[in-house]
Amino acid sequence: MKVVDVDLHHQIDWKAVAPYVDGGLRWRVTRPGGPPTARHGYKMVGAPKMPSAADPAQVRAEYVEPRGIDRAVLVGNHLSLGVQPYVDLSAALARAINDWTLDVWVRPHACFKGSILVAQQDPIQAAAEIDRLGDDPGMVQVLMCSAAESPFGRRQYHPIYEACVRHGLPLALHVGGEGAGISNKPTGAGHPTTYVEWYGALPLSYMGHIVSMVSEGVFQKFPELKVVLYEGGIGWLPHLMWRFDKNWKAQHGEVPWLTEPPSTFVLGNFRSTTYPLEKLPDLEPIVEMIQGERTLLFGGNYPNQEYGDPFAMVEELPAGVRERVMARNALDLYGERLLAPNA
Amino acid sequence: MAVASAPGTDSLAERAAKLRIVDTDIHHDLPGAATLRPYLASKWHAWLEDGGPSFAARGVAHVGSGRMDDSVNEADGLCAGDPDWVVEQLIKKYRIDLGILTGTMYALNAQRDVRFLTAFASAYNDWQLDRWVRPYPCFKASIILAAQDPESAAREVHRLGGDPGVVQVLLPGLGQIPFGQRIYWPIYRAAVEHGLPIGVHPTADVGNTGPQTSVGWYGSFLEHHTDHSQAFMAQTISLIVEGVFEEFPSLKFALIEGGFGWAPYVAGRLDRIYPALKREVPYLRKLPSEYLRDHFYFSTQPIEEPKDPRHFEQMLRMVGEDKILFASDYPHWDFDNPLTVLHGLSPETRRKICVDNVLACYGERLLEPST
Repeated sequence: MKVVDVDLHHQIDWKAVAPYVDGGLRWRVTRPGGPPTARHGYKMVGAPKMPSAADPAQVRAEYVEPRGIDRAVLVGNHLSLGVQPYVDLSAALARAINDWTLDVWVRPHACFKGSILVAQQDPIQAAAEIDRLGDDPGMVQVLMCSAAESPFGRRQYHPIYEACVRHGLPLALHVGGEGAGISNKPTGAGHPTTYVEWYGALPLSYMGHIVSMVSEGVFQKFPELKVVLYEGGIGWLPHLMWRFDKNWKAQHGEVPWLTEPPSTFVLGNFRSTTYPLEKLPDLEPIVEMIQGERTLLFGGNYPNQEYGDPFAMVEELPAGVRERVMARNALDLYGERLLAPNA
Repeated sequence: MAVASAPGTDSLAERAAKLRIVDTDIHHDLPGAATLRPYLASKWHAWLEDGGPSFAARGVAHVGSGRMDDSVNEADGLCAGDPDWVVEQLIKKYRIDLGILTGTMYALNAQRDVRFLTAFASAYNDWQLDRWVRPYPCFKASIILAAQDPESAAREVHRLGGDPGVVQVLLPGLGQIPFGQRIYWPIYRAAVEHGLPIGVHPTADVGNTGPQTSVGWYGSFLEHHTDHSQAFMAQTISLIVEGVFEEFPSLKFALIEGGFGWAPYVAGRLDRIYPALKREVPYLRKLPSEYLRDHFYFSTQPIEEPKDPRHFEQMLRMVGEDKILFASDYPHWDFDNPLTVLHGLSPETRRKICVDNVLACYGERLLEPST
């Protein structure tokens, strides 16, 4: 196992997904253009055109095999499901997308592994979905969007974490729904005007969630829970750990359950993907500060590779780190499931 | 005491050479809103009665009082209500030559009645010049604003921008929309005309603004204070991407109390995506990292404390040691002692942070007499 790509955006085909939709809501999906979907309104302008990832055989032939990828973890392209206004429709879509992904992408192709998509508007249904598919050998993690109504430390989300731990699954968070539907403003400062600004600020969601989850004691309650942060970069992590630790020293009386410095959990329970890494004259000190040799996972972000080739990007990592990032860290995180047959 | 208290006949360069520490973040207290009565037109006096104005306040609070309890003045129960007291407790005790006052009113633009707030800001600015700056050469003022009304705010910058006692325009960490957007440009235009940098200080996540995070409201002061930098990052990205520095090439920002270790992220993330996305922002002419390098300074307090001190020096180099300004945050709970907090750095680097960079950001006004 030389290359595990944890970040492949297979394209959801609503026509194909429709038959899997239950609960009397299939009609919502069969209309042209798919289900009603709240959008944030930011769009790439003038960026290089990218291929589609709609056909599993084609993705294998054009990307997975030529790039020597042994396993690719699918994360789909519905990155705002958890902030859509229809709660039950979102839960039904999550179930349908998961079944379709298993049937069409994962079971017929040993190189693909799935993520259990959940709609966190209703944490109880989300946890039920994790229980429904949590032991399927084709699924290696739970996936929800980082765009949020509330920070993820809040108690209402804990049933999701409990279900992840019950099935030994990491929780993947993916940016992209920020500013859509029932989510908060895409930054604390307000609504950006451009895609550049919006994209530049996306990992602020991760910062807000990390501060909330650690402060609210999520990792005291669920020490085994691992959280994978997709497409957020790494350059903000050192600052976050240092500021958080320093504040904790003086303010821990507020959160008496938090008995270790916050950075313990930031380094121990969170992982980050590599696409896109920050473009800096020297990335190495930051990689060292975040213990990248343990915490970084190779992500290709196929087919959305507007910011450059993901394999070339990881060349910017120190060689010893790169080796672990390409496969070892993913194997450590996902374990046996990554190697098991899909059916 | 302070070099600046006895300007004598020294040239500006000689006076600069004698400086040892300039503190860019001193929170002087307003001892009750009624203090401003002489500076407010009588039509606003009703606001000062019945206990003074009611400002929206956050519902999370520090462990402890939030201030340096050993600096409380028994005469008024405040740490920084009396300039003579602050001269003793801070300026002399920690051998500070000059201090920039940042007050406690940085959340005005999150508050409600903008007409009153505009009058309040003007009164406050006049009061601090009278009470703190003119009689005390060691103190310089920041112009505070009710920035939710940028036209009135720009008028206030023009009213006081030529005063030798003021060295910056101060904004809170948050407004209702990001700071790069054009609605704020009259304030920046006025600041540039008077050669003033814009200081930004946390925060204003109360009242008219939303939470500092992009994911909703936090549940503790620990989160509130840790989340400040998210607002600063968002504002920095907005200022760069909106082209503020193409419109105002001489404008500088001093980001106070928001940390600096996140700056490489902003530079590296935006530089990574810029080549693919630059057609959306055709008014930008430089790499995003170049705007960051050329227009932003960062204050030290609360100084970042990695377990491995080597990491601090690496981060300092990445951000640029000529971009960092010393700040104590007196008299708040997380005060950084200027005599000890930079002890791990070389004397040359300390000199830059405590004096040279501050002069580069704020300019010669800092050394000129305030009257």
